[in-house]
Amino acid sequence: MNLTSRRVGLTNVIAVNTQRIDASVAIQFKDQMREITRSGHGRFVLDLSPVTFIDSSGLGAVVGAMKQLDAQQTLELAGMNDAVRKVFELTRMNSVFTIHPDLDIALQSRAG
Amino acid sequence: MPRHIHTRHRYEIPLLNMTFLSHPAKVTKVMAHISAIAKRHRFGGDLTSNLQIASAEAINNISEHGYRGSELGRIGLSVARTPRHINVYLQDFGRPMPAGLLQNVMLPGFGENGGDLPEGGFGLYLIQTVTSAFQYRRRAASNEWTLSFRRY
Repeated sequence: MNLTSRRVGLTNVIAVNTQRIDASVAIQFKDQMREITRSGHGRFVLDLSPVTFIDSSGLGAVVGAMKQLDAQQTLELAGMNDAVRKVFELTRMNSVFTIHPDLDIALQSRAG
Repeated sequence: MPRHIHTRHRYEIPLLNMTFLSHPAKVTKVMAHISAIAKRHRFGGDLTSNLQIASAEAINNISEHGYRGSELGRIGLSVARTPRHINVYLQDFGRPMPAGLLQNVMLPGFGENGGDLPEGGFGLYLIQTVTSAFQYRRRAASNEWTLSFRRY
């Protein structure tokens, strides 16, 4: 599990280089998110397009990553596939994140 | 292979039988087997994601609570199909589920304050929501789970 971050305009784009965010990587995911967001400012967009599955541990790690942010930072999500979106919707966590259909749309959006 | 779990449906056709240790890396591989079964038998997107979600959550629950995380234990898994359902049977030899836990499974609540957001407690709710039937029982020294999914 590896997360990488790059700056696109005013947005920090975080790429997820794994197909699964599950119990085996949830702690690592949250730790890496903490490292990335510690050094960046403003808006972060997590590009979930390579992710085909997330379990409740992975969901908790994404929520935890948002809770780690300071008041000037935001975390938005992009590129969820159907199975990932389903977990967010069933748990109503879709209502606490700004979610974009894909990264391009997220980058065009002025949200955050 | 879990040999004596649950009362099987009369017309059940086995699709997968395996035993594995409750290590997270093993669990990831098991989930790949379940995905392969779903693909091979053309379960369709909704059934496949429901099967993946509930199986992963049940196995996580066994690993984290039945066997308490660092303590590895054996988990038996069978997947079978009947004319109308896909059934997943899980057996473990860990601690029993606390009494009453399944009586009132609810989604963790959260307020408008982001700091109150729950980071866990979704597992049983997800299982109940995506299965058409969900049974747990303690028998002798083992826990037995049955997850059923409507095929059509």
